[in-house]
Amino acid sequence: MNFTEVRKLVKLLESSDLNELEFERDGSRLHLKKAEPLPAPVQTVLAAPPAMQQAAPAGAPSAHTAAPTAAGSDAPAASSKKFHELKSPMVGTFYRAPAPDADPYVQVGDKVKQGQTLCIVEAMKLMNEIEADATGTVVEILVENGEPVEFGAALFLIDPQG
Amino acid sequence: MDFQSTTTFEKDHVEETLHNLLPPLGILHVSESTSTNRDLMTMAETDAPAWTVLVSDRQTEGRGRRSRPWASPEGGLYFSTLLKLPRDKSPITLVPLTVGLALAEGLYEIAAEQGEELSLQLKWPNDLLSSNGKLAGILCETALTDSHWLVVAGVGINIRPLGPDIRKSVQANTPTSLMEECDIEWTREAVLIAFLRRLKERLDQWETDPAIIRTDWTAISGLMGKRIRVRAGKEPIFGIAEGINDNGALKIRTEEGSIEINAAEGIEVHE
Repeated sequence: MNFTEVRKLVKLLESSDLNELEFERDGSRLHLKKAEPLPAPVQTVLAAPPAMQQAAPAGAPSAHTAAPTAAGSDAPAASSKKFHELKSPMVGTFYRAPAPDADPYVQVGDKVKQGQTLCIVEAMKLMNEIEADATGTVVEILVENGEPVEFGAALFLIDPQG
Repeated sequence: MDFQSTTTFEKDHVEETLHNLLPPLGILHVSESTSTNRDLMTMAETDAPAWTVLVSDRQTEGRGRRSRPWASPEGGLYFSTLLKLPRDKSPITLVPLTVGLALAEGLYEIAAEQGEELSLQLKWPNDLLSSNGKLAGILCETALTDSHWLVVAGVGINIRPLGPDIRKSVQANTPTSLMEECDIEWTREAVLIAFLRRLKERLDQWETDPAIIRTDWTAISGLMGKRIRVRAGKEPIFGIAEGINDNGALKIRTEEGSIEINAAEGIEVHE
């Protein structure tokens, strides 16, 4: 009895109303039994892709909890990580680079140190170089270059353990 | 930063004149700085006191908004002032407009003292213009500390006319100078004294009654009620300048309704 024959027998059982099937040939015996009906599936919540996450509104708590990746105890350890939010200290326009033709200060995945400049927020020609207030890895940049930000809006997610 | 200055600048005179008006004023004069804002911000990080003023005869990398170059040859006044302002008083974003207002008023005073009149406009938020072009630029940079806002207010003023080579290199806004605009005696010391005196008064008002700053800024701006084209974001904005809000943002009436902007690449006025 080879694998192809076993698979054919499984399909035969699946397509039938039988619950069990026993097959014997040349001294080999195969016993197949349908599984017990499963309970209704548990609703799982998938993590939103980074691009879909929105900047937190002003006054949001400073720690951002990642959405659970799956229900149950098999969820990866990352699902319980808390990311640090770097927030804007003032209303303004968000820039990722010091000049329009310059490279961005940081990219997603970069390791940053506390005190390192990550962006500029400008309002009324008041330029505010925003520094990282935690050491870690940039997990996400929550605002598009050139977009307005409110006071207290989350700009970056930093994984302090990354 | 080179602390061996080659051009005479009477910093003692400035300090003595303002002795009773300002908190301890420390003026540093250098012959060359890459950027007085950059150097003063570095000094601020090592705890330089408020009202430290760095004056340079020239800047090798003078810059304006978004790293645009600011020509800084000898013959102009280039300096930065370190301010430490309370966190929870008035909007910090009104400070750049306050600096522009103080500079305009300081220049008016010097002209008036010599019996002349100077015609200036403040283009939002704080470019200082005459009808002939741009006279001065201001760039304020800030950082928030646990106890206060740290602001470095950088000012570049053309006192003597710029040479033809530099004029050619200036890409935006035709430059002009104080001497071209008003034929009186202009010294760097007098301009600095007049500006710092007005700045102290105006910052006290910023703390206690910022509405006065908005009113007086609006009166000098010459922008309100005019048709403007603003380069900001992806599409230009056309409308009529209506005023400034509590934060200093420019209010514009467009066909789609009123909007407020806090940053712009440029503003053109169509009378």
